[in-house]
Amino acid sequence: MLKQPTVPERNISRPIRTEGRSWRRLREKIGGNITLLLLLFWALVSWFPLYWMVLTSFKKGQQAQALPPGLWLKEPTLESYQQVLSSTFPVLRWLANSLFVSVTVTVLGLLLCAAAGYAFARKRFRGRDIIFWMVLSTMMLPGFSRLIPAFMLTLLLNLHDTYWVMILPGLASPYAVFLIRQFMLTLPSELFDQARIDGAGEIRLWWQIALPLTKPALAALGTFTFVATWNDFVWPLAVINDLKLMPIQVGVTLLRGMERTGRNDYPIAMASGVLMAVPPVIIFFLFQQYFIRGLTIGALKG
Amino acid sequence: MNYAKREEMWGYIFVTPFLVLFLVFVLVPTVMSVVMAALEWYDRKPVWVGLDNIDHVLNDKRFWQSVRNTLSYVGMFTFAAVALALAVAIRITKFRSQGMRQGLQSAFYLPSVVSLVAVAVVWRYIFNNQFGLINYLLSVVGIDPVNWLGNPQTALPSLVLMDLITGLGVGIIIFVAAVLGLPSELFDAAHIDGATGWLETIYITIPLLTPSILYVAVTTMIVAMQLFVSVFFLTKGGPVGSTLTLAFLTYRYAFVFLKVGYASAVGLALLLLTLALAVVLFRWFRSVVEY
Repeated sequence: MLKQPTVPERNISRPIRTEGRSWRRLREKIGGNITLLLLLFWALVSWFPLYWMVLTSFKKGQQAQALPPGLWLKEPTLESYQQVLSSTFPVLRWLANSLFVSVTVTVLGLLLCAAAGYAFARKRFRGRDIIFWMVLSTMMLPGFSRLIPAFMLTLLLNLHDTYWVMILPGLASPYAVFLIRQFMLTLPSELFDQARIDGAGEIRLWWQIALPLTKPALAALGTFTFVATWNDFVWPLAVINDLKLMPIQVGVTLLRGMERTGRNDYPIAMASGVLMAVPPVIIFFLFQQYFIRGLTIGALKG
Repeated sequence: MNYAKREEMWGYIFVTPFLVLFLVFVLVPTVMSVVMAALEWYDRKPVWVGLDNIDHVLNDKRFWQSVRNTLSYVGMFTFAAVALALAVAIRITKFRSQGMRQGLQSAFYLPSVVSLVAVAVVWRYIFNNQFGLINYLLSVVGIDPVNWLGNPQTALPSLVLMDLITGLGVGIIIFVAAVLGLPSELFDAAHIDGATGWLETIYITIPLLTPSILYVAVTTMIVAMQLFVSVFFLTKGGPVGSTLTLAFLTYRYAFVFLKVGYASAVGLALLLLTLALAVVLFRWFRSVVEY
């Protein structure tokens, strides 16, 4: 079912026009070029902040306040990176924490949601549709309104300032279950019947037949989950106070130049920004086609 | 055990691990978010206060100010984001090479991958009063510097601008896929009737895209309702409360002023307002489709 959308060949059947044909052509051509320029302009604008962040991170403190601001590098320096990494805060540890939490949430979350999605798609059990409907309906609610209840709940469970509190809430993703279920519904039942006749147990049916065939959806969800967990800010900000357990997003707020900016701090703030932007960008470049596909499945099959 | 029983058992086995976590971290907090508006906490112990919190919230000027700010941010951002993403996406679909289209989709998506924390910090620099880039560019064309984040008139629109520049990726990707999925016969028929370029876009493409537009509008609206990170890093709700949002107010009451019950009431308002807006959007789109 997951076909790449095909391109309508709408340019093949041009209408036959007798009058004003060349004028219309010309007008279309000019219009096309103007909108093309606007498109490129917007692309430039949306990339510019990232370029500016990288560029400034290689500047010296005072250069960041020079007028006119230098739009490209004159004397690149790693000074601000050195300052960030050699600060009294455990910046490398923060990066490692983020990596550990993001990878764990991605791997465990995919397994859990793939198991649940499989059950919703291919098993019959009492209450299935009601439970699934409940899971779906929470997708429409703003996560922020759960912040305080979840905060109090984890406080009462004594989970604050542990890795658990950053990992567990991210594992149960309604969106992931929904996507995997939609995908698994489309698998032909003959495959499962055949394997059952050959004596495969239930776990093997899931692990060796359902999961491999769901790979595109899993890859898309995996990249989303990693990026979303890495970038998560509010939740760890609320529940982690221990300096050693902080993820990078929360840790950087303590660095010079982040919350309030003094005169020479911009390059340092930008260097911290670059450090926390690099992993998701790498993941994006590795898995970009899955990103695009995953977003599309959710929207067009819903 | 017969087949159906076994099947049922395995269904439960596969769904249980997820369900336990879903109950604890999604469903219970959702239910609690309603109940907690009627509680106040003293030393980790809840005390029932009935409608007191809600009463305080409804009589709080800052709450109403946050409602206004949140709604005007959501209104400006959702409308502009959907319109811009749609325009960009339609232009992208005019390219005939698939590689070109995918490259452009990726290019527009990339900025949305970078964490909001990093983005917010760059923009604080770009918006800076004295040596920010925007004011420099204005000075080149002879316009006086504007204190973008320090002026109550411009602070909220500045946040809208910043989020528009980084936050269009998802919408663009969905719209491109939706346009490419439209049946080509309709376009052929329109060509025979003489529709080209703009006419085609306005009278055929956009009406056919209504379901995708609704989807993007609702998801964008839900995200926008929770505006927090850029306020936290750029304005802290100021100047004079002009960028206080419901999410930021919730956070501040709970974790800075430690008034958990009051914050829960604000959080509940955020929840209800989001649901109400979703219903309004659904209704509105249905009336547009059916005319």
